Amino acid sequence: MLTPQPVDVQAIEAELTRIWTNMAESKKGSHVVLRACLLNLIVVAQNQQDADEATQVITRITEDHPCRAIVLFVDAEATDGHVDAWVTAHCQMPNEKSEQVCCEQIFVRVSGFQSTGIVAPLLVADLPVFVWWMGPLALGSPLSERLQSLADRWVFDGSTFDEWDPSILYRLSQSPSLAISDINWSRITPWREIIAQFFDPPHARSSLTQLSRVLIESEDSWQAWLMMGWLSSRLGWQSPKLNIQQTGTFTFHVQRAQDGDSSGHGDALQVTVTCSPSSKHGLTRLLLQTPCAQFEIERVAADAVSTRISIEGHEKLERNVMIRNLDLAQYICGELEILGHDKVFEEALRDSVNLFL
Amino acid sequence: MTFPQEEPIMTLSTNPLREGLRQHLTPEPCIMVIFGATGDLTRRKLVPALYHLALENLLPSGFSVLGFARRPWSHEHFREQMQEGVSQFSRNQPINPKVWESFSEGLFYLASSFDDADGYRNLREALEKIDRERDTNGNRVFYLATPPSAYAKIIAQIGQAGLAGTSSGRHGRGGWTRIIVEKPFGRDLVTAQELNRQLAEVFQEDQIYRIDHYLGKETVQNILVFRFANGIFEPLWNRRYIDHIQITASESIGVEGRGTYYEEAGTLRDMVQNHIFQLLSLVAMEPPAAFDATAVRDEKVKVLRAIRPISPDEVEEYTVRGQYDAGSISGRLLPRYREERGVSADSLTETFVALKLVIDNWRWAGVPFYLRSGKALPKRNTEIAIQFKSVPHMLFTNTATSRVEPNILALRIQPNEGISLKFSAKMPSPTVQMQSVNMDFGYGTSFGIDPPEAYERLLLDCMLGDSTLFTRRDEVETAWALLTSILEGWQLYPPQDFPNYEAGTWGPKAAHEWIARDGRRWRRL
Ligand SMILES: NC(=O)c1ccc[n+]([C@@H]2O[C@H](COP(=O)([O-])OP(=O)(O)OC[C@H]3O[C@@H](n4cnc5c(N)ncnc54)[C@H](OP(=O)(O)O)[C@@H]3O)[C@@H](O)[C@H]2O)c1
Repeated sequence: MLTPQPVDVQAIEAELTRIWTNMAESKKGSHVVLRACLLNLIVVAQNQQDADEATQVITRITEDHPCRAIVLFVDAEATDGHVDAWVTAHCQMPNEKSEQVCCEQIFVRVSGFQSTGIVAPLLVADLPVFVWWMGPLALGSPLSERLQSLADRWVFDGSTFDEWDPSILYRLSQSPSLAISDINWSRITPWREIIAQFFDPPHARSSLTQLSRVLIESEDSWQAWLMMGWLSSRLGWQSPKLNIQQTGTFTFHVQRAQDGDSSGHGDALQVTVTCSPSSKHGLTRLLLQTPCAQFEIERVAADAVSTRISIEGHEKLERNVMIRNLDLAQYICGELEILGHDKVFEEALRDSVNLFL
Repeated sequence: MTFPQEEPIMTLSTNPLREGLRQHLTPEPCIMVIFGATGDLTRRKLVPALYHLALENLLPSGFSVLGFARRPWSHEHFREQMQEGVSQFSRNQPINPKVWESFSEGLFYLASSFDDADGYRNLREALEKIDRERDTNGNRVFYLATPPSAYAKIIAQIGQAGLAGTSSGRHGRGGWTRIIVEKPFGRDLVTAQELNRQLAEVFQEDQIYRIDHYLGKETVQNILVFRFANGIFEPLWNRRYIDHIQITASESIGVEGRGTYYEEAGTLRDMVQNHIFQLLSLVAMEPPAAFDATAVRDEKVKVLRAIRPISPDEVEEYTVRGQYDAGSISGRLLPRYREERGVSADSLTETFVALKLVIDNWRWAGVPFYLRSGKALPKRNTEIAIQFKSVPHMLFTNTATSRVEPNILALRIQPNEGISLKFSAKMPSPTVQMQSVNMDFGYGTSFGIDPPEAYERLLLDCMLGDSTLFTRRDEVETAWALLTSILEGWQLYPPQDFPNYEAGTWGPKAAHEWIARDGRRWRRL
């Protein structure tokens, strides 16, 4: 990475062109410098720590996703009317013979008041716009409104929220022009894979329509609700009723969609969600039970779970499965690979909203 | 272990939890029976690939391997041996002890000779026992990882033991059987047909998976994606715009102790009949109507059928053979091929071949395909180069560079998988000076992930019942028909000048002169 150059916001484009020309000249005769750009990434940071982290993550992201990255540090302490901006280039040289691939980062520190007008002029035309909003969302704020109108995809991390309110997110997700994604949803994907795997064999699939009890345990409550929302939306559960609530434990009765009894009075299914907040891991255990079979996943280490299938109380098939823990940069890379709406996520969100209606 | 079914059951035709997940399906629990489980292929490729699938959680729970070979090993010893193999050859090091523990619980071994009927009775019992204990539900993949001479015996014994099963099992409720056959698949048309006949006596065609590991390579599959998912290239993909196509598969090693095998094979059998023909059919095929086993393979076979046969009398015109002499590659000394272990001192086996093929259809009429492959060449490199026609009228004639290089699109298969396009650009100067620039896209650098090993993809596809990336009966036989005629011609006209190229050079001089006669030259790689 080159040393960041302070610059007047209005001169950013000119400064970038100067950097590229310099680079091409200094490299004459050796490597070709390729200026590459596949997308615009706007990162909104609301404190110094996030802003630093954003810069680190961007350096890693550009290896796989050359982009124009704009870090917008909305600093409560910045004086109104004062905007600081820096530009810099990140370069990758995959191997001796290949060209050097470079892309650019713009860093802008600004007071909340002025933040709205900064981004639009800096976007590279005709490329998708991703917004990664770090920390709690401030939907409805002028900056947020403005970015929503520019963005194709909105990335956030539910685990950084203090309050859990899926209804706002669900509403946001219904915008036709904006798709949203939650890093916390990506964190439960390996669990969804394993659960889905239980029911891949056609003979095991019928168990899904016979579930009588489901247990979800998690150290991150957001993940627990997303998990329940996912199961509910995929399996067509209806009319959830919150029955018992002890601290951290919620028990619901829901109607299975495909109960044999079409009058809708079939056995309700009992779902218990236990959240014991701690920042350690997300989901810790999941159990799906029918009158004669049981499917279980339990976290045994930071990067491993054990899975068990038991039929009629015995004959257990047990095995260890790795859960790959990605770091933030890897999650963000994953998000940059999808453009459209994630229908499954949105439906999970919708069903988790319904839990508390 | 079976799932009891009470209540009126809604049978779900698909798994509703799969929607939106990247991985589409895990195979049904099954047992893979590896014939030749003590051999090199099993420890070097197959078990490491399976372990890796387990690591990625792509295998069903209950998945099991039953090794079958002569050595009197116990289950435990087999597990230890396989663990050693994985430690040595897996692309993920070190072994993950937790995953290995679960995976190895599913490894079993049965000692028997291939021709012993009792062995197959024991095999049946062992399979049934695993079915009961690990819920594998009668699903089996037989893998022939043995010397080809053993294929017929094993196939017949499987049939006699009543283990051949069917492709879909009992009314779609599990219990399918499939068989994977390793290369080489025959050594000419007659032997390939004979092997197909033996297989067909026992199995249906949709149970048979003829493996060609090239098709498992991500970059080979990318040829199709590149051609059919990008609108801009396909309109150019024909005789109007393409001058010719070169396919190269070079190796920088000699026969490395496998002289005995190579004496029987030669480059044409070892590389061209299978791998290079696969690449050829993928670049030359018409768009299939769907990406499924029937549509894709139908189109591939059509290409092979459209290749103009080379009669034995035409071999001198359409082929060049070579055999390497001593030489050095990157500072390593290589002995002359005829001095390798297991090779006869007057061997006529080719270690280099160049072929010119003509495809007689509307798309390719008049566009020659030059193929070359060989051992002891300067680099290991597999690529397909599409050379476009030069511009019809040269505007920039009074310039320093009045010769403009043609546009070349290169699809690199290995190493440094990627795609590059060469085009001309004006150098910044007051006069018109042109230079070729290369626009390059590397898979490794663009996606930053290790592509999976070819065997991983193929084993998984077979377990899922998807034979798109396996070779069909008519495909193998058509390829052999073309090459058998060349082999006959070579017999008729034995080479006079072997060895005719020095190890570490790009093949015999004749190969360069031969292509130069067409006014073209080999790409420098
Ligand atoms: N090795 C590779 O990397 C590679 C790559 C591509 C294709 N292939 C193909 O894969 C196949 C296997 O190759 P390989 O290198 O693994 O061969 P290998 O090392 O020679 O192994 C042969 C196996 O067959 C068993 N076997 C031979 N005759 C037997 C008999 N009569 N009864 C029972 N078992 C018998 C041997 O068991 P015992 O020793 O216990 O008797 C051994 O397990 C070949 O067709 C080869 O062309 C290999």
